[in-house]
Order: sequence, then structure tokens, then C-alpha cells
Amino acid sequence: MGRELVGTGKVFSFSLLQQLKSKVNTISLIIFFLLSAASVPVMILMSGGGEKVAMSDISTVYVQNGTDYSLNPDRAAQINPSFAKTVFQTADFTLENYKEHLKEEEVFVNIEASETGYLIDTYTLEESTLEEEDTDALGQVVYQLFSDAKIESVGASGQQMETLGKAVQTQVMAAEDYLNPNTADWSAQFAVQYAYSILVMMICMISASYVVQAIAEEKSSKLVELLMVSVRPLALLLGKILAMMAYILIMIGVLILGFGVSYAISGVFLDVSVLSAGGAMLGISFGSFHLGVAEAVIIVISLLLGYLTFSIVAGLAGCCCASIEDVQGANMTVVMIVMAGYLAACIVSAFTSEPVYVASSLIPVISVFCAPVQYVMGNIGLGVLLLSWLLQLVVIAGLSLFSSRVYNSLIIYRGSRVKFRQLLSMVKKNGGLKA
Amino acid sequence: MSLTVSNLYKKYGEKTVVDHLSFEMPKPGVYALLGTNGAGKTTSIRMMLGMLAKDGGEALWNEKPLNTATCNVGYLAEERGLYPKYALMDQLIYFAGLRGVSKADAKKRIAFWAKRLEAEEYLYPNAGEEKKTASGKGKKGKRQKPKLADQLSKGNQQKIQFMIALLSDPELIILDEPLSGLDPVNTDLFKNVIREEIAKGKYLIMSSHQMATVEEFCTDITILDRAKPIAQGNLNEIKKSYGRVNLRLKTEQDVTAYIQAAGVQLLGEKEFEYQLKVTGEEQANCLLAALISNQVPVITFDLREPSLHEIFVEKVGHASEGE
Repeated sequence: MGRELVGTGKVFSFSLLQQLKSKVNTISLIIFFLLSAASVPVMILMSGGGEKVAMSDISTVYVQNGTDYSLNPDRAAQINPSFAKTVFQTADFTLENYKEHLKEEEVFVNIEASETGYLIDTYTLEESTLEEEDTDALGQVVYQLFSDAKIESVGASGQQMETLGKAVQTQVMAAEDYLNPNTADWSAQFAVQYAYSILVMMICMISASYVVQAIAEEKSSKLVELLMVSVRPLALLLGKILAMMAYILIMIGVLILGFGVSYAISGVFLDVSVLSAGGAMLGISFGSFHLGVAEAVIIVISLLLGYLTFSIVAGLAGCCCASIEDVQGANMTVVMIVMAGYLAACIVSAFTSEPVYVASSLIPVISVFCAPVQYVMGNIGLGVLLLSWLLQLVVIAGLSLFSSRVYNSLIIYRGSRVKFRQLLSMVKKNGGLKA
Repeated sequence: MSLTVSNLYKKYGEKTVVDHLSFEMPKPGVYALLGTNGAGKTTSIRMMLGMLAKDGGEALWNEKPLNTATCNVGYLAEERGLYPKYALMDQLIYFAGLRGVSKADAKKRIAFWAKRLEAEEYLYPNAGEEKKTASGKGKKGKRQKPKLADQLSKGNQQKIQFMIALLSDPELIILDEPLSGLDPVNTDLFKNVIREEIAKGKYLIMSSHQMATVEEFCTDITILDRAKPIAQGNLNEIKKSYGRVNLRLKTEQDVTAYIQAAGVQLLGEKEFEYQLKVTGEEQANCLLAALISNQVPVITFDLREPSLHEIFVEKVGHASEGE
């Protein structure tokens, strides 16, 4: 087996170098970077986010408090950060003569007792340029300050005040969810499974298409014989698969870099917190996922195993091509297998029963899509995950063995496209097809 | 060093494509594998190099199985190709690297072979310009990009492929139809390189349909017909076994009557130049004596052994008739 893999490194580095030298690929990477860089501000704007914290245009608020409750203006910025630069001070004038003292960007607030309770009124000059939004927000802040003052007046401590001020949320859940608090909710599970499956599907389809194309091109350009003097077919296949994998990792790296740079720059000008709030607004809670370095490693290993499985199949499909015209058919075969796994994973994610979780994590092809998600969601244990990997490794080893028995003959074969039945017959006879 | 091929055998289904091919190269030289199309030459080479599984037999280099680990092989395949859209230099360095040649060493060897095979302009398009600029003469013009494989003519692509075969300085060179598709100038260039490699003491295996080329270089041959070796051995000895039976006669007048009288077979005639087949030296001498005694001026009287082409046609033709 060792001799079969001699030269893999050279094939890998050459294939990767040519991928990176290709103008089309360079342009693709630049486009990916620009798209990912643009994604953060676009998402923030679409989520209703905007300027980080828009400071209120109100420069000074004069408060005429006709009640016994003493307001604490220092808390105004805590209630609404846009009033951090606004000065609150007690008015030394009254409602009757406030126009003589007020400037355009200043507000006069009058608080007084009424028959039914208390009245808070805000006044600006007629020629004031202040927006209605600003004065409304100020009204809410003063209302809150006044409410706090009332509570404080009855002798409530700081802790009691905090308790009273806390927001109350309501949540409806099934008894099963309540009893299994570590299990993520169904919608989140479905969303994660869906997103991960799309990622796996895209990676596998892109790479499979490349592998099929590369091998078919090598065959049609009559290079194979020249290569096979120095390198065994399995090393040729593996080198290409790994090169494509590295290229995809570079692509993902560029996406992450673009996203990271964009996030960092957007954070200076925009309120990026709306992104995390976006998920919550959709009703998806990610709090119960066990995401960490270990889980990231698990996802990467699972992706690699899935990638290898589909790429070896793509390599075989590429070898069965006799000409470039056969590539479409070969691609379709691989796409169908990947799609079958993807669709099965999507269907499986709609079920919430333990046997389904375990089965979907163990059945080859489907497990590529399901196992890491089920583990991260807490639906299966580490043992099942390891067993899933073991089964995937067995499948990869089986495919490699299958490839090694037919690849030599296939790669220099020039007849019509080889059918699966012929492949099986070749394995049985361990022979070849007439080149 | 020695190459031993014994009982090489291959079947596809019920069809035997190589039927017990054996030969030996105990010392450096050129061995020819000849045969009609589909006779099994390329399949034999592929099996020898381990590209195809053998159904029987073995190929040994220094008594060890022939492979890239035991022997430094250079191979110019019959089906030739290059990556059409990759830079030629990258491809050459890649193939050299696969044969264990370091990048720095590969660059030196590429430079050598580019010059030897007159392919510098495709690999170093700005070399001349750089020299001019370095010496202070001439202006720095627009730099030209190195050519891609698909921008080269077939003959020039063949030069690059020949370079690939020779980059690792191989001990055993296998050339499958090395001169097909080349113009006369490049044919001579390739022939000269082949001669140089022979002089260096390399082992060469050549497969070709161009009998004159094979005859020019090879010391030993195997003729394959429908998978089977039908003639094998030292080329000179094979020729000797046929005797001197080919006679080229040139005179200044019509001598057909003398030819018929001597019982010599006339193969062809053009402007009193005759291609004749004699049974042996005795019959040829009788004809010459008759011409001289009748004072017929003889310009050329060339009695020689049959050419490889004639032997090949005769052997393969007989084999076909025997079916």
C-alpha cells in the first residue's frame, strides 16, 4: 500500500498550485472575499440595525419637578444610551416663561401631580429642530426615572429596584423539552441540520465535480501514461482529492477572513449585536448547543470523512469516463449520491426520536450529514459518533480497495463509458478492460 | 545492469493480447519491439512498467521486478499529451519532481534540454531580451508570457514530452513511436539525441512502425503479430539468415532479357534501374557475368541482405497467410 501512495505529495502540491494559479479561481476567491465582507453590513441593515448608538440631539433637559419624588438623572444614560451626552438639570424657570430661557436644541420637562395621578409634559420651542423621535424617547426616559423615584421613595434597596425593573418573558414548552433541558429545540435542530447539510453538499459537489473533470481531462489529454511511469493511480487520485480539499479550505478561510474583517470594521460604525438578536427573533435558541473547540474538531473530522467518501466515488466516476463528453453523466452519478444523502438528512431531522438519531448517525452516506449535528445537538453520545466515524472509515477503506483493484485498468481505458456492472466484474476477475 | 522480460502474458476476457513475450538485454543497446497495429507492443510496454496487471510472466531489472523504485525509467508514450492550460515550466518541474529530481536540479536540466532540443523560445521567451538589457543594449520591451502547451505545434509538444522522458537521466529509456509526426529537421534532432543516449550507455527499447529508423538504431528485435512473437533475435543475424538476395542493378540500356535469362525475379524498374530478387550470390554473379561478357555497362550492382521492412512484411505476411 505504501508504494501505491508514493508521489501523493507531489501531485497534491502541483494540483493545488495550478488551482491557485488559475485566473478563474483567483477571481472566484476575490468574489468570495468581497461577498463575505459585504455580508455583515448587509445583514445588519436587513436586521434593522443601523448606527451603533445614535446620540440624541437634545443638549440639555430642564426639569421642573412639582412632585415630592426626586429624580436621579444619572440613570438616564442607563435607560437609554442615546442620552449619555444630554445634560439633565433642574429648571430655574417655569412653564410660563420657559420660552425665554430655552434654546433650539433644549427641552423643558414639567412634572406635576394631577387629579388622577401625575403628568409629565415635554416642551420645545416652536422653531426647534429636534425630531419627534428624540422628544418621545426623552418622555419615556423621564417616565422611567419618575417610576424609579416613586419606588425609591418607599425605601426599596438597589437590589429590590433591579428585581422590579427586570423584564419578564413568557415561554411555552412541552413537558419533554422541560425534562430534557440540554436538548436543543426542534426549530434550531432543523435549522442547524439544514445548514450543515447544505455546507456538506456544496463542498462535496464542488469537489466531486472538480475531481471528475480533472481525471477525465487527464485521460483525454493522454497524460495518464506519462504520469503512471512515476506515480501510482491511487496516489494520483488522492493527490488531486487532497488538493481540492485544500483549495476548499482556502476558500472557506477566505470567507471567514472576509466575514471577520467585515465584522471588525462594521463593529466600529454599526450595531453588530442585531445579528445575534436576529437568530432569537426567528425563534431559534442556540443556547443549548455544546459548541467549543472539541466540537469544531469533530465537525472538521466529519467533513473530511464525508469529503473523502464522495471524492473517491467521484474519482472512480471520472476514471469510467472515456472522453470529456462522458463527464456530465459521471458528475450526475456523484451528484445523485450526494443529493440522496442530503435529502435523507433533511427528512431525518424532522423526526425527534432516539432510534432515528442513532440510525441516521450510523448509516453510511446519511451519517456524513447527520452524525456531527446530532452529536453537537446532544442527541447522540461520543460512542455513537466514534462508531459512525469507524463505519465511514470502513466505507472509505472499501472504496479505496475497490479503486485499487480497478483503477489501473480504468485510467488507461479508452473504450465507451464503463458501467457499474462492468466495474464489479473487473473486481471479481481482478483483470482489466482492453485499452 | 540487465533487463530480462520472460513469458509476459495478458488476456482480456477470452482474447490473448500478449502471448508469452520474452527477451533479454544483457548490455546497453537498443531493442526494438515491432509489430502491426494491435499486435501487443504498447500493452507489453505497459505491463513491463507495471501500469497494467500481468496475467503471467515478469520483467526484471538487475534481477529485481522492474518498477520506478528499482529502475530510473524514461518513457515516451505513444499516446502523448500535456496539460493544455498549465505553464510548460511548471509541468516539466512537476514531472521531474515525480521522478525524484529536486526543483533546482530540474531547472538546470530543463535549461540543458531546452537548448539541446531547440525549445528555449517556448520555455524562456524573454531570455534574449534579458541578456540585451543586462548588457545595457536595447530597451526593455514588453515581457512575453511563457507558452502554454496548447499554443505549441505538435512537433514542439513532442519535444517537451521527449524532455520529460529524459529529465531524470534515466538508465532505461522506452520510446514508443518516438519520431512519428516530426518534420525532417526535428527527426534528425531527435535521432541525434537518441544516438547520444546510446553512446552514454543507456538501455533503449524502441517501438516503431518506421523500419528504417529501427534499422538505424537497433541491434536486437522482436516482431509481434497478433500477440505472438514471430521473429526474435539479433538484427544482423536475422538478416544473414536470409542471405544476400536483394539486388539493385543500374545500367544504361534495357537488360530485361538478361534478367529473364538468368532466372532472376524482377520486382521493379525505373529508367534502367532494376530492383531484383535473387536466390543467392551465385545467381547474382551469373547475371553480372552475362552483362559483362555482352559488354553491357553496369553503373550500380548492389547485392545486399533484405531490409528490416522486407523481413517484417515477409514475416507478418506469412503469419497472416498461415491463419
